[in-house]
Amino acid sequence: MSKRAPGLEADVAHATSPPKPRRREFLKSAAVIGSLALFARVRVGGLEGYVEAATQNGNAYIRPPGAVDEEEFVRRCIRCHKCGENCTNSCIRFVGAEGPAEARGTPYIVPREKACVLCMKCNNNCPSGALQFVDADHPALWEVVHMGTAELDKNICNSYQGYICGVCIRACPIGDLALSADLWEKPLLNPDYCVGCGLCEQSCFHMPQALRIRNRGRA
Amino acid sequence: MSARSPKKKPRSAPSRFYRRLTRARRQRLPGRMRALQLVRRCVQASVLLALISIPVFSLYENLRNQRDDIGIEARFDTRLVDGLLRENPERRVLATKLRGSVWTLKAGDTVVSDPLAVVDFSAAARSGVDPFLLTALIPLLATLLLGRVFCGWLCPADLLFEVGSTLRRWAGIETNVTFSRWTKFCVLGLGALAGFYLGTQVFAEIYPPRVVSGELYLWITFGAGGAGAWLLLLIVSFEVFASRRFWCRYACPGGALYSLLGTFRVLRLKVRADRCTQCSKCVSACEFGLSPMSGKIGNECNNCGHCVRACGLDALTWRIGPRPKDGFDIIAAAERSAARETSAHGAKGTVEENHDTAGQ
Repeated sequence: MSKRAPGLEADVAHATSPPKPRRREFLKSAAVIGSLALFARVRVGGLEGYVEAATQNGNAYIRPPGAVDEEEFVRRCIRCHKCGENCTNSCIRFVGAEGPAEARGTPYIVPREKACVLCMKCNNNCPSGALQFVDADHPALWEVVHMGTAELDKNICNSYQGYICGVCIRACPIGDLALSADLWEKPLLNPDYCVGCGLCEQSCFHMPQALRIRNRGRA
Repeated sequence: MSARSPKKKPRSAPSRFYRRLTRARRQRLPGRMRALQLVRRCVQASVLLALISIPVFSLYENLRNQRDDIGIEARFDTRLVDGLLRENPERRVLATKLRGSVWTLKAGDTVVSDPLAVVDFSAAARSGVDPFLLTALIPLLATLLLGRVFCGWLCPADLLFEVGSTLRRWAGIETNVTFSRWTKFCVLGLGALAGFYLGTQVFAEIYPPRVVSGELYLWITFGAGGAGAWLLLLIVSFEVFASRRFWCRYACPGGALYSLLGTFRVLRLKVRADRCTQCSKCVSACEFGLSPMSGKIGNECNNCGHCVRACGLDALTWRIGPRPKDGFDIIAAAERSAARETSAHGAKGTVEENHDTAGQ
C-alpha cells in the first residue's frame, strides 16, 4: 500500500479542492442518471397500459399460486427469486430481458412445460406479499388461488372427436369439481373451481393442447 | 530477569530494541488492522460463497424432491454436493434453512431485507404500512450505528469493484473522471419517485448486489442469466478504464441510502492529531476518494479500513462515540493525554508514546 497508485492525483485533488464548474458537473450527473434510467427501462405511462395489454387476450403471465392481481403483483414483487429457489417442483421461471420492462425479473409458470403442483412453498416464502400466504392443506383452494382458467378447444380435444382419452380429468388436483367427466370421458370444465395450476394442460398429449390455461385477469 | 516472570515489568523504560521493533512494525502495518482486513476479506468471501451455495443447495434439494436423478447427475459434481448431502438428512435440513440473497434473506424463520428493497417496495407498491417493512429493521439499526458498513463488508459487488480497482492499479491506468457525489443521492431520489409514479421497481434492476446475487441464481438454476451481467461488465470496465470506484462513489442508490442513514453514526474514524503528519497517504489509499486526514471523512465511509492500514504512523483509529459538534473527528493531542491520565492504567504511557512518535 505504500506505493502510490496512478491516477490518484485526481482523487486527492477531488477530496480537497473546491468543486468544478456547475454546469459541467450537472451534465455529467444527468448523463449517469439518464443511462441508468435507460438500463432500468423506466417508461413514462405507468402500469395501466401494461396490465391492459397483458390481460386483454388472456396472455398475461401465469403467476405462482397465491399471487395478487397483476398490477398489484408487479408493484409488490421485489425480484428476489425466493419463490423459484423454494419451488420443489422447479416449475417457476423468471421473465428475462426479452419480456416487457415492467415484468422483468418476476416469476411465471409455463404449464405445458412444467405445471404447478400446488405445494405452496413459493408463497409461504414470499417476503413482500406479492404471493399471499396459502395453506397447502386449504380445503377450498379455488377460493384463494387464481392463477388462470383452463379453456377447452372442443375441435381438437380427442374425447370430443370420438377418441376416448380423459388424461386431463385424471391429472386435475380438484377433479370432479373443476374438471369432471362427461359421457365417454369428455372433459367438462367448471371455471368457478379451476385454480389454473395447469396440470391438465401438461397432461394433454394433443399437439397443440386442447386444454390451455389463460389468464385474463381478475373479474 | 527471566521473560516468564509473572510480575509485569514497569512500562516506563522499554528497551531500545523493543522501541525499534514496534516502530518498524508500526511503519509497515499496524497488526490489529492487518487482522481486521483479514476478517473483512473472510466475511466478503463467505458472503460470496453463500450466494453461490444457496442456489446450489436449493436446486439440489428440489431435484431430490422430484427424484430427478438424471438432472442431478447432469448438473452436479456428484462427489461434491451429492456426497455432502445425499446420505445426511440432517445436513439436508440444515441446507434448506438458508434461502435468498443479500436483497432479502430467510434464515430459519427470520427474514432480513435490504433497506433499499424496502424503499423500492414502498415506493412502487405505494404502501407505507406493510409487514415487509419490518424485515429491514436489523440492517437499519446496523446502518444507523455503523454507517455504510454493508458496502464495505457484505456487498458482493464491492468485492468485484475492488478487484477492478486492483486491476486498474496494476495496469497503471491514469485516467480518472470524477463526478459529483450528489449524483447517487439524485439516483436514489429520482428512482424512488419513478417507482412511485410508474409502479415499477427501479432499483432491483440496477442495484449491483441484487444483480450479482440474481445473476448467480439464474446461472446456477437455469444455466443462463439476464441482462444484469452486462450491467456489471459495463460498470467494472468503466471503473477500470475511466473512473476509480465510479459506482460506489457516484451512482449507487444503496450507498446513498446508507450514507444518509449513517450520518449520525456511532462508529467513527478519528485522526490523532499528535501523530498525523498530513502526508495524505490515507487520502490516496481511500477507495472512495475521501479525505480521512482532515477529520471530515463524512458519512460516505464504508469502513473498509484501507486508510487505517495505509497510515504508517497509526494516526487513524476507530472510536465509538457521538458525532462531534464541530464536525471534525480529530483527537487533539492535549485531549488525548488527558484521557490517558484519567484512565486506570495508562498514566505512564503518554511519555513513551510521545517519545516513540517523535523519533519518526
